[in-house]
Amino acid sequence: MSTCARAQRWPTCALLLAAAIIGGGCPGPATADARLALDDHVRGEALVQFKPGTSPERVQAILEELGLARGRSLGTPLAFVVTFAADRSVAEVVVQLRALLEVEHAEPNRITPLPAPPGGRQGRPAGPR
Amino acid sequence: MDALRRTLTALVTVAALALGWPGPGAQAQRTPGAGPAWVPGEVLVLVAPSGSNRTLAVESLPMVTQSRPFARSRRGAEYRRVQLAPGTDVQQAVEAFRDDPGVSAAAPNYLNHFRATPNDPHYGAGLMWGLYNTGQTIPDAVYETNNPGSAGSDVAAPAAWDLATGSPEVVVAVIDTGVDYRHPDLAGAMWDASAATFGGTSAPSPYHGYDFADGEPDPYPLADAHGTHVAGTLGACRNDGTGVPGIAGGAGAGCGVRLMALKVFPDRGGGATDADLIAAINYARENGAHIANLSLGRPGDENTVLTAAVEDAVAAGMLLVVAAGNAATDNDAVPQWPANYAALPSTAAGVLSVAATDQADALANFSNYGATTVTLGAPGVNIQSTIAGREVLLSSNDASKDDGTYNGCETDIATGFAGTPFAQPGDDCRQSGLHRWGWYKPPGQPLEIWGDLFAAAGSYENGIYSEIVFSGLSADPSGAAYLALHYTTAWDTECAYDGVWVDVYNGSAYLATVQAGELNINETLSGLCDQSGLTYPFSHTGRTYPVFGIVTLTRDLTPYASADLNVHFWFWTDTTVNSSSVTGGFRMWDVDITREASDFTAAYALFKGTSMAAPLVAGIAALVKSRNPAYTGADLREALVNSVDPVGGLDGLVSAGGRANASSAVRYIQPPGGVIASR
Repeated sequence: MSTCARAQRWPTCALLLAAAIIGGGCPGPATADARLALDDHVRGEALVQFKPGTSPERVQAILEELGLARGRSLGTPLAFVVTFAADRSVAEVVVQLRALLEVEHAEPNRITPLPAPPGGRQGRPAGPR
Repeated sequence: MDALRRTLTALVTVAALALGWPGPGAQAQRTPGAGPAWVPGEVLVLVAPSGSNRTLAVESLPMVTQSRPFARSRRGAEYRRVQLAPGTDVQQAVEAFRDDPGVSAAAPNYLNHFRATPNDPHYGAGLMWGLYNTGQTIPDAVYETNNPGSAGSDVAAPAAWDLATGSPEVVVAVIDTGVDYRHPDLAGAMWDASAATFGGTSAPSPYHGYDFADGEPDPYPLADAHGTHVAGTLGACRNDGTGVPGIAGGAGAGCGVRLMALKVFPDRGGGATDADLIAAINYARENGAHIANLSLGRPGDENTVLTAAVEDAVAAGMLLVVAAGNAATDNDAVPQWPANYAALPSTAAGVLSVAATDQADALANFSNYGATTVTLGAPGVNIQSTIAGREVLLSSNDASKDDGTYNGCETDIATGFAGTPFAQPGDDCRQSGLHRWGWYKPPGQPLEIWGDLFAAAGSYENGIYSEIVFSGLSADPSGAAYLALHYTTAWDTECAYDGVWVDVYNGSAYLATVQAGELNINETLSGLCDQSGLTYPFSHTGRTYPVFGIVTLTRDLTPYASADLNVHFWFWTDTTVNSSSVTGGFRMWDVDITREASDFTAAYALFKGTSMAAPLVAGIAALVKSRNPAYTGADLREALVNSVDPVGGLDGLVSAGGRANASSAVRYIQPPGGVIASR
């Protein structure tokens, strides 16, 4: 049983949990899981595609200069997710990236909602009768 | 020009069919996996009136051994049956004839066979109107308009199956919510990912694709049946005596086209990010998918990184088939992505946007449209197909799956409350002071779980870990495959102070939180902590709560499957009032625990949407590809666009002016490479 689970189980361990949350040791309310934010884009992320021929060193220098971290690959060379603090403006990061000669494209990481059934319902399991 | 192409194509095709060729005993040439094709060594030619009664230049070539007229059109054009020298490639000969100025059209002498009805029971029961519409009524319809519709308002699948049923050499990526690859109607059709790569790096997987949304190899759908339904329409094994026939599901043994499952919607809830969509498209391209189905979309701005991925896919020869959208809006005016790549100059050659038609060939009342941006229509209402096979172990909505052993307020009010529900939502189940918590289940009504705080000043209590034990699994989940918890919740809690937690208990120990870091509602839905996110009020015992949001979440319980599995919901509060709002609470409903079904008989359902129309078109494209392996995505698009049935219900609403026709598409005559044979 984890410390976090134990703390949840017993109210007397509330302080332990609070300390752990502050210390970052347990998942706490202040930690963002931006993927599930019902915004139209993911907070703390942007997509970037560098121009062909841009060296890895130059890419790294740009990321460091802008305070960005390299995230997951998009499956093609020089295209990947960049991550940054969730409270930083996505629009500003995108503008900063687009201003660079080495950057082909930069975009927010927009979210497509789950396809909703028109009229709000689909059928229940059914077969030939 | 499109109309001319269609007319000329139809002329030769009709002639080939109506005149009953070939003669008995003719040997069919076959294209790989595509079934019968044409008579070897023969070409049918339509000679323009100006060329009748004379020898064409092409007929002087050594490849031609004999050319005999056999019919004449009312306008004086002459049909000729051309015998080729042994060893002559029929397709090359057809191209040579098309290059002759005296030829209006040329085609192989296609073979036609007895039209066998697939033995899939849902097809035999008449549920598959989109494939074969006899004017039947669909029972338990989810779309009542034009039910029944009109015979022939379908994609003419039976006639298409005479020529192609779907080759395993053709790979179709299903970019969606995942695919239940263990479904008996799909298992044999799944793509082999054992040699997969991504970004140039080896990425082998036993799971037939990849889950980009959850960052794992397994694209099994714990939360949603959408992608499984799409996959079944496309490629459920046909003529296998089971369930439904996918339009490109093969002829029987071995199924048909191969389905690459690429999951971009996360199980735990929320939408698909452009990053995952881009990665999925790139994965499909890198691993040789010929066609990708994207039954998804959003309005808003174009994403240029996504555009680059689509351009790369089109340049690689892929066809992307995209649902137009279900908002009943004009995509010309309100762009939808990725649907509008069908009209973007840099991508249009390899993208189709699909509207939904009903059983009478009218545009479905929910379907988006667009005279320039939506390409064609296809059946998209009351579509029967596969869904994920899930067995409900426990459900708050189903008394038969609810053994009534919940333990409300178990810690502090156990003697007075355990096993007794609220008689009504306002009943008190307080742990102390002003905190109350419990579950509500009047007879005949679904169970709901409430966590509720009075609105008195300073009423929050410190660290209240009240819990509801949602237990009583009616079946032993030990060893259960894909055990999952689903629940829908609405909440009004103080961001960063209050929260709801969910964890798993086996009767003696807490196994773990379900997924660390994703359990607190406020944490998980941090974007909704902003008061501006208030969207929806709900009332509870005379008080109205503002609701930050309503969301359905799913958690994977498979690692915790045991006979004594319980699920605990915790409501955690802080000491002080930290905002101007002192009310707080949450509600949970539609709480289910499910696992993979042992019996998939009921794993089929009627769905509606442009999401259901797109895979029919993708499946038709797969049939054309099966018959013409050299075709690029651009060729497939041409075949689909130029073979539609013009229908009044789509006039001015889609660029091709009609509804897809599989039979015409597989008979569409066009040399590979995007060159159209028409004069």
